[in-house]
Amino acid sequence: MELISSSIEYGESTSHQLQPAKTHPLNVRLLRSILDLVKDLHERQSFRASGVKAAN
Amino acid sequence: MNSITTRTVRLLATLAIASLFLIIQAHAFLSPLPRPRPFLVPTRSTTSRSSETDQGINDAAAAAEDESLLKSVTKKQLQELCQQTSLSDKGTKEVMLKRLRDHAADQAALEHQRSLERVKRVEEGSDDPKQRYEITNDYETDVDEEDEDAGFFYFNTPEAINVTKPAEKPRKKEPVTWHSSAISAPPPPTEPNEDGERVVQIYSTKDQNDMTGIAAAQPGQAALGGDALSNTVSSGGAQPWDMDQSATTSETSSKEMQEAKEKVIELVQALLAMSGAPAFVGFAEDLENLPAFEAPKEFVGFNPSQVPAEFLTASSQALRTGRGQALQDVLRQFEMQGIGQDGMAGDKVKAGGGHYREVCKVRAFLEGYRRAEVRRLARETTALMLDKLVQEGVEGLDFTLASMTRSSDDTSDHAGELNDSLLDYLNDAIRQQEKKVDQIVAAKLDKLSPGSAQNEYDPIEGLWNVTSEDGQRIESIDPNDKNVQRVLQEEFKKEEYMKAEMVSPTSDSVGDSAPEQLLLLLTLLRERIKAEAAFAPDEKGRNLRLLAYCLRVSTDSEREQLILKDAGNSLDVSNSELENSVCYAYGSATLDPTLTVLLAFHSVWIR
Repeated sequence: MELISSSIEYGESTSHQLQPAKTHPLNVRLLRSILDLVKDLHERQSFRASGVKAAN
Repeated sequence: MNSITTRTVRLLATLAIASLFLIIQAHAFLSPLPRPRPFLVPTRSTTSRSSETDQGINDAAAAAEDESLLKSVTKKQLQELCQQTSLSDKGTKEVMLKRLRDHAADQAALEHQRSLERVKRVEEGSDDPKQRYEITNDYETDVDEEDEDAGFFYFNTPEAINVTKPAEKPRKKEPVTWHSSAISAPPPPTEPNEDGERVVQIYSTKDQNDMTGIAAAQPGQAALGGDALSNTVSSGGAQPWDMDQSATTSETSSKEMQEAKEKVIELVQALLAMSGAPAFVGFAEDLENLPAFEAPKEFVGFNPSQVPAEFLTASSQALRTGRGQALQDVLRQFEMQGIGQDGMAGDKVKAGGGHYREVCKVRAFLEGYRRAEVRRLARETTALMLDKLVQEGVEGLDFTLASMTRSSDDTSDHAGELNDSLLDYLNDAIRQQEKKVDQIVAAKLDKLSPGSAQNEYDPIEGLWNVTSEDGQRIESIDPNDKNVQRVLQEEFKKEEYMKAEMVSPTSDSVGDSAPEQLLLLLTLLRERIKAEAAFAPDEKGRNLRLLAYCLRVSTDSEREQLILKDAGNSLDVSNSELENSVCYAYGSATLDPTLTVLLAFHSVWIR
């Protein structure tokens, strides 16, 4: 998750402009969605690991 | 060595002539004339510093010596000596002796005066910047002051003038061959100075100090130096796999290098013995690990076709150690040995030379063999990975890469090692494949363009009706004409076909032909291996790969499957891996090289 977060921050920052050779900057929107996905996955696994079952 | 022998002969001749010198001392003849004796003429009389008693004793001794001297010397000899120095040769023997002594004293005094003036001139210095003198103190301490100040004068014996040099015997020109033990050791180090420091001159081994021009004249030598595969670690600069360089300086690696050098030395000795060069023939008897063979009796030269294959295969790994560094070091030693053996004979075999040339041949042969071996292993590794990629997909390739060893050296016996030579080979292969694809594309374009070029006659041209009204030229076309319709439809179809042909290769980067697909695979494989080289096979590398795959797939469900497959269902594993994998702080993100590589990694896989 931290990897994705830092990638998002890197993509949002202007540091990638320091490399004129790179024509494909990071897709921040896609990274955000992946981060959400991983967070969701992490929460689900935490919930599953806690042994608590859903009410329904 | 020849110059030393010549110098010795000259020295003996000089000694023979010097034995005829008549040397006269200012105070007395110390010996009879026929016996040579160095002769010293001090400008200051020693009597002035001695006591009266001593003076009396000295005078008596001198008189006795004079008497014995005059007895042994003939008058003619003294007359000739006087004639030499342009003195009068008249008078008795005593008179002439005194005259000669006075003359010697005068000359010695002049010499002494000159030396004093020289010292004074040095001390005062000179305005000429080209003249530089240095006064050393140790000279004054070492040399006796009297001797330093004393002037010298020598007479020549009359016979010495007429003495001719003994005729030198014509030396037989024999081929000069020396065994390796005959080569002298380097001179002992210079003595340290007062501060205990020793000044040494350092020569870089990278210098191309080939003043003979032989190496430059060797065909293919320049090409060998420019090849990426033949470059050693020292000359290759930073390589992707050199992150393990710290490990190569360990004791183990130096031991391996030493063992490899021993093997290479034996191999080179065997190959040089095959040349039949007189100084190298003895190597054939000292072989321990390689099978013994009989060296040729004559100088036949190195012939690569006669080298047994087992010689090379036994030393293949040693040749590749340190990216050829062991081979380079060993060959440098043998080159120096060959130059020493050749001496002034150079490449003339009949005169005992040609050893260096043989070493050069062996160098070219072994360098070529080493390059071929490195290429063979790299080719096998590439074929292995391409097979995995084609048969099992990216997952299979990932698994293969994860299990492969990483090394900055080429010493692996089998294929399946990630090293710099593999990347060099892939670069080379991609370059060649690109040329092939370019030729194919050019041939395709030629196929298309000649059709239009040959068809210079435009059918539409004939469809235009050209009329002239009021001096104006009017061109018209009738679309309702059936002939016109047919021609236009044909042209439209042709244009569509041309567009489809032209657009299809550019719209999709994957070509239809096998060379284009192979080029794409090779390029992707190279980029993949580069990414593998940039990241260690640990959690960080794994997570970066996972992220790259997540960016690559299109839907969230696939991403979820991917994450679960890679990280597993275990919360602890996935969590710890993800957390431990990252140490990128946002504050330093702008200049963090790891993130730069991350971006490159992403861009490779996003494409």
